[in-house]
Amino acid sequence: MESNPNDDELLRSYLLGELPEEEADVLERRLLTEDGLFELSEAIEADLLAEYAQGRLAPAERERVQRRLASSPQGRERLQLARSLSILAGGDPKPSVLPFVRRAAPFQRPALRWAALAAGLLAAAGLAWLTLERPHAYQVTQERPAPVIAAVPRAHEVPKTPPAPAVAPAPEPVKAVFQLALTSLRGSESAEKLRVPAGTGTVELQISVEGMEDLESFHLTVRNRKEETVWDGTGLKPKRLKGARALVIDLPAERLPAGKYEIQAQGLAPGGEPEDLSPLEVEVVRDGKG
Amino acid sequence: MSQREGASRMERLQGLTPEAFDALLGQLDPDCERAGVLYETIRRKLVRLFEWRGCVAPEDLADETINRVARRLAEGVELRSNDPYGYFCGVAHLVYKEVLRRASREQRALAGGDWPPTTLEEEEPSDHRLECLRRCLAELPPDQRDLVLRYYQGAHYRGKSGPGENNIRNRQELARQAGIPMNALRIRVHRVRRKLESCVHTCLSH
Repeated sequence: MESNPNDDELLRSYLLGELPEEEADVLERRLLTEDGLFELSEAIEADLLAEYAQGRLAPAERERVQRRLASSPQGRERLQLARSLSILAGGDPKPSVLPFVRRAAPFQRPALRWAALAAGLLAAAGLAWLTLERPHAYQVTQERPAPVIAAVPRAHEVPKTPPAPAVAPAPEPVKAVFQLALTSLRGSESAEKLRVPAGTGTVELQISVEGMEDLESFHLTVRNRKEETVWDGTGLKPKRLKGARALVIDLPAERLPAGKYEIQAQGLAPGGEPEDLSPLEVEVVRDGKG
Repeated sequence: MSQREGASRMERLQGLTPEAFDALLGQLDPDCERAGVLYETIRRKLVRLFEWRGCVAPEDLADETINRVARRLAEGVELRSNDPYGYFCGVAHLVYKEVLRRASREQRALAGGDWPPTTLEEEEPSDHRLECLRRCLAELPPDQRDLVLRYYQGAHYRGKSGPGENNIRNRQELARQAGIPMNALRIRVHRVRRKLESCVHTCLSH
């Protein structure tokens, strides 16, 4: 194939609809004539669909791919293939979706987190008073009769269901799924523990963004304690998991050895500036040899 | 080209007389078989061009383009031997502009109503689809399977210095190991992908 070193950039711009009309016309004439260029264009289209499926496109590019490459039935089929290949290449078979109801309020400064903790303590005191006065008023206190602070549901827990572990063990050894929320009342012991079983191929994080309906897309970065980026995704759109909005990201388990990690997030409302959200700290605990 | 293939093509080219169809094939190549192959190539490319322009019914538009070219050829227009595709391209652009004008009229008509915006369904692949893909991957020669999975696997990682850095490094490493330039790697992966696409399509339809 006769190729110009700039052909791949030119084709990418064309496929994203960024080329001026005259240049697009000229390129299309070449595409009809040059078989090698045509095949390269199909290859770059497939790469763009893969980037779309993996949430790696900027919002504007994402919208263009949606409009131009995934609007026909054939385009949607190719997108499904890209999604499927991404899932299998990540090492996981059946994605398992667990019920997910968590609320997260975005805090922007540590001082506000401490204020939230203080508010929580006050609420706990109030709740304890009510418990003493009316023992059967709150089911949650019946389930948790011991320390007052423990009677207060933490921001990321499900208030109306039986106490569930903060993390969900993997239903199968190949993929471990964990439910998180973007903010928590942080203290020194409050890092979410993610117990990753031995043999896990993929770790899936389902991160609630309930209460952030104004934010259309998100940028997430996962960093280890050395500040190295383990995973980064932009233009992430929340999915509906059993009625709740959540971001779903898949990470190869090998990229998450035991240790602490920080998940940083930014949300973006249409036409707005990126909004920093409170980071989430997690601690990966590897069971067995995993 | 066999009579059956010719009849099948005729069905697609609605409103074309046999003479127009023959004129089209005759101008593509004096040899009937080669002309048939060229016809299919042009049609496939036109379908993809209309897809890349974001058209919802690319096959219909490709056929409309070919219909118009065939009718003009029957009227006496000749394709330039050094640029036979140029005429198809020109007609395709006209067809596309008509599509845009039609879409613009429809949008104006819709703008007055309170229609919800259309969004792409962000659906996860079904278990059946994943199972089909697993089977199709298993049917590939091991080197092709490894290549395509490694190509997609590297896309999960990002480097500190910018988006997709690790992905680019991963692909550069793959290209280096294969001893080929990056674009050649892309095309090689794409050919494997096309096999998978066809295999999965067959599997899903059964």
